[in-house]
Amino acid sequence: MTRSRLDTETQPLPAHVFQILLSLLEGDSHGYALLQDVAARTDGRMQLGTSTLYAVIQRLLRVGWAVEVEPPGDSTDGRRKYYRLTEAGHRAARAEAQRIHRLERMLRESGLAEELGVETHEERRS
Amino acid sequence: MNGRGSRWVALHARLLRICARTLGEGALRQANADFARLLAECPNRRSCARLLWREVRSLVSTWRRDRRYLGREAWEPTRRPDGTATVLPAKLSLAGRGRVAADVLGRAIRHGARQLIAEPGFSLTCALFLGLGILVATAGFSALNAALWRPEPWVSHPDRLVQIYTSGYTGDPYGPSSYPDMIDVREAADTLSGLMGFGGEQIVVSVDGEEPRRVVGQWVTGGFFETLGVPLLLGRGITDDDVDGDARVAVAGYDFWQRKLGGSPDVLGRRIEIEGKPHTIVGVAPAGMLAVGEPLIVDLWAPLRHTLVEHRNSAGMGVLIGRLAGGATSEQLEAELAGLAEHLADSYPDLWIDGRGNPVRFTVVSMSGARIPPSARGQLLLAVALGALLVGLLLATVCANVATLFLVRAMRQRAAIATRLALGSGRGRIVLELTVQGVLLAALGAAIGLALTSWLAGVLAAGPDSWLGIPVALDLRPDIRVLGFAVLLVVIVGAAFALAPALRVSSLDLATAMKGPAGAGGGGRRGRGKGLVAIQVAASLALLVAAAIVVRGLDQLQRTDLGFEPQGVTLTELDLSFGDYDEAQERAFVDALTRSSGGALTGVAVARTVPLAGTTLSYVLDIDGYEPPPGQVVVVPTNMISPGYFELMGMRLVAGRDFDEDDREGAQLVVIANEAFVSAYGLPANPLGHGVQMDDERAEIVGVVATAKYQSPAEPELPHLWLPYAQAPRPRLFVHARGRGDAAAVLASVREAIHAIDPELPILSTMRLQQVVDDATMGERVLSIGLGAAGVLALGLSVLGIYGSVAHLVGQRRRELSIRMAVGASRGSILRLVLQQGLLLATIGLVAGSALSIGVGQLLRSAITGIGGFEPWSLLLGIAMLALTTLAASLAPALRAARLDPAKALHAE
Repeated sequence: MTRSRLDTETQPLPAHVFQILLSLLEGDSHGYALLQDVAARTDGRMQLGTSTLYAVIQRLLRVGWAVEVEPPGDSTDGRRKYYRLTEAGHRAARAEAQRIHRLERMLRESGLAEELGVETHEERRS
Repeated sequence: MNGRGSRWVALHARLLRICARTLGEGALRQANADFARLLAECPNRRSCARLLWREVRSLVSTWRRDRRYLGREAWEPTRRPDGTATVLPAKLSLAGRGRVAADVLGRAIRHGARQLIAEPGFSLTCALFLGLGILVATAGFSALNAALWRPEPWVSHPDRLVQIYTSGYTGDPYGPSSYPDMIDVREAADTLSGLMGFGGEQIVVSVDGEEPRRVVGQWVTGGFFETLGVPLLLGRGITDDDVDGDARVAVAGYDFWQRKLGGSPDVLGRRIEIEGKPHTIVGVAPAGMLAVGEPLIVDLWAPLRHTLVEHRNSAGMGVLIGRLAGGATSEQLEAELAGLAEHLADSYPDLWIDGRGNPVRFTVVSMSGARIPPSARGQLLLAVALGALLVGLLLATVCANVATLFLVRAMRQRAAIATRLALGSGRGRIVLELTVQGVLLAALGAAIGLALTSWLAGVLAAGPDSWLGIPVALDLRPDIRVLGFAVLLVVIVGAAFALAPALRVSSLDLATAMKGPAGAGGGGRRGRGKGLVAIQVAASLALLVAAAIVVRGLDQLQRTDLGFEPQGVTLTELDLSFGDYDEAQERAFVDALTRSSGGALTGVAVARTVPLAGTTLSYVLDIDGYEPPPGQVVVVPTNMISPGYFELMGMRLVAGRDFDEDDREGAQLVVIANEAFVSAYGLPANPLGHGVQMDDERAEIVGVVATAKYQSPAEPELPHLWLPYAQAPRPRLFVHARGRGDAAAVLASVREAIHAIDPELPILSTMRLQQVVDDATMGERVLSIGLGAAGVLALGLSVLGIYGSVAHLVGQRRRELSIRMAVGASRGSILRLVLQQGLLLATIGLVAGSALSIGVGQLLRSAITGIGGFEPWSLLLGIAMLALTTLAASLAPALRAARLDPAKALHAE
């Protein structure tokens, strides 16, 4: 196991970035909705600050993981900017999901998952 | 709410502009608008406060990230050359990198400290071990530092001082110089701005008519204080006129002034008695001034005695110390002195020549870095090497031990560590954290060690008089050099014991490590654990063998036949010059004293020196019929004794007769030799009547006694000669006495007998001969205690280390052992297997330790006379002890392994 492989394969996305990607996976959204959505999904455990949110959005736009889109027709607030995940953004979210999945498998193999009472996919299937 | 709310929004907008500089104008507006909406929707004050707090934290973290990463994020995708995207660590600015490094280090320190605090038992155990190791090391270094390098703060510009030696009669280049030599050097050497000499270490003094006692004192020439550059606290120093005129003056040391003379400034002009004669105090030296080159607190300085001033070559005064004039070098001085030596050889052809027929010469040695006389340097180097080796061994044991503890702990935590690795922590970070913990522990250990060192130094400094008998001022308090040494040790030691486990744990294969401690199974990666135990076992073995060698050597020394019987002999020291006797009166006094038989006394004799007490008087002899090898002279230690001395001391007369009353002044000069003298100088089997030329007189051997020990119990058979006191009287002597009852009763009777002859004569000291004999092996005893303690400590550490390693191994092999048991292995065989494992661990160390022990034994033999070298029996004993220890230490984990329930253990997998 060389260092570079370890780094690229397991370099995780920050949790708040992943959460924003997850919210955008559900459809186009604006900043305020993203804040609410993340807070709701994490049962209020992750509440982003606005500067953090917009710093992430700005980067998502710059690296091409998301684009700005016109507000949908039924929008009540024309001034809001809406964001949509690009194909690259989808890939990034999938890659992170796979990483977490690999991690989960490791935990299961180690018996740590059992100790924590985590239910695993295979067990659910059987 | 509305007005206040808009104020908050305006503030937020300003803060955003300050903290989130990389956000575009649009994003800033959006962010502020969202904030305004959130604020407006807050149902109560509390959620308002929560929101504000969240925003502030968000702003701060945005600000920090922007500064550190220059607007780039660690998770940003980068194009690979093949077109695919990958996530790479963000690029950092140089300043950002420095900040990240400081941050990482700070976090590692905080994290490490938290972890150590969370496990106080582990941390304290490690810190105590390390503290002990560091204490031993810094104590050794402190002693060396104090003896060698610590500047003598009371001397001004010590680097300009030089020592000047005159080669001695035997050709030894580091001989003492005489007073006339000093005067000649002073006149001849233009490169010197000052020159002085001194001699002696003791002065007998009486203040206010008290019983005279010996104090540390020096007889000095004029210019003593001026050459050293020490200004006197009061009055003046000793001048050349004092020496030339035999003036009865003295300079008091600061301590002596405070303690004995009341410490008041009107001490100048006060009279005290030195060697029985009234002297006037003319000066007081500043506080902290010690003897030159020796850590002794000097009580008195007095002008060089006149007897020494007159003699050119026969009786040396001591070393000369000069101060180089500005710009002059010691090479220039040496050249000047070479010229002077030639001139002196022409002027005094009889005197300025040594026993080998070579002209006497001067040797110049710089004082900086030369606290130890050059002649003793080889021995000192050997002792330092030996000490460093022993300290190193102990420290190695300590480090290996703590490393074992660390490794076991790290292996216990490896599931957690592997998880962190999987979550993206760099391996370097993990290694750094573990190493930082090591250094933190070492620092804690060093703090303990240094505190103990200071405390010990305080104890030693408080009462050196009481346990050494002389006022020593060896400053052992840690100074900057010792602190530096300790810091260096901490870093090296901390890294040494933490790095290996850290590297090992962090290189674990993720999948296997995640399986937890029980699963690792076989695997050939236990090499480092084995190495650690091997180091401990090897070092312990070497220390134990060294201790065994010294203890055995000491035992042999103590059982050595000394050739005399110290038990029951008391010693009373006198100086007849206090009585202002002439030689005839001295003879009469001794004659009367040796006849006394009052009180408890059964036998009284006098002698100039006491065997094993460290002082000798030597004579240069011409022995009839013996031709010394070319360039050499016969120098034989000599003692002056009264009749009856041999009988009293239990020394056996093998031929001829003892001295008697007829051996007196004017009669034929007679001597008694020992057997070693007879055989060493090829005397006939019956040497009685053989002639020996001493100075200008010819003496005749009238008796031969069995060879005894005179300087050290470890010495080989050495020639020795005795003269009758009546034919060679000396004012300073020891009254040897035996009697009925205990030593105190005998000493009281001796005192009575002395005062019956001269009620005024002071008694300088009293002691038992047995005490002198015991003191002679003091060094060996201290060494054996120290080595024994080190050996036991190392052994104890090894027990812990072996126990830890075997327990760890058993834990690792639990699965394998369970399978063995499941397929039918008996508990006995499991027990055997684990014990074998333990012994195997120890064997590697024992093999390495054996080689080390032989080396240590050789070093011991060359460093300490009277100690035999390496002996197989001590090695065998050490090996047996360590093998037993290993077995005992392995027993507990082995029993635990044998009690494993195979079903449960396997199920747990």
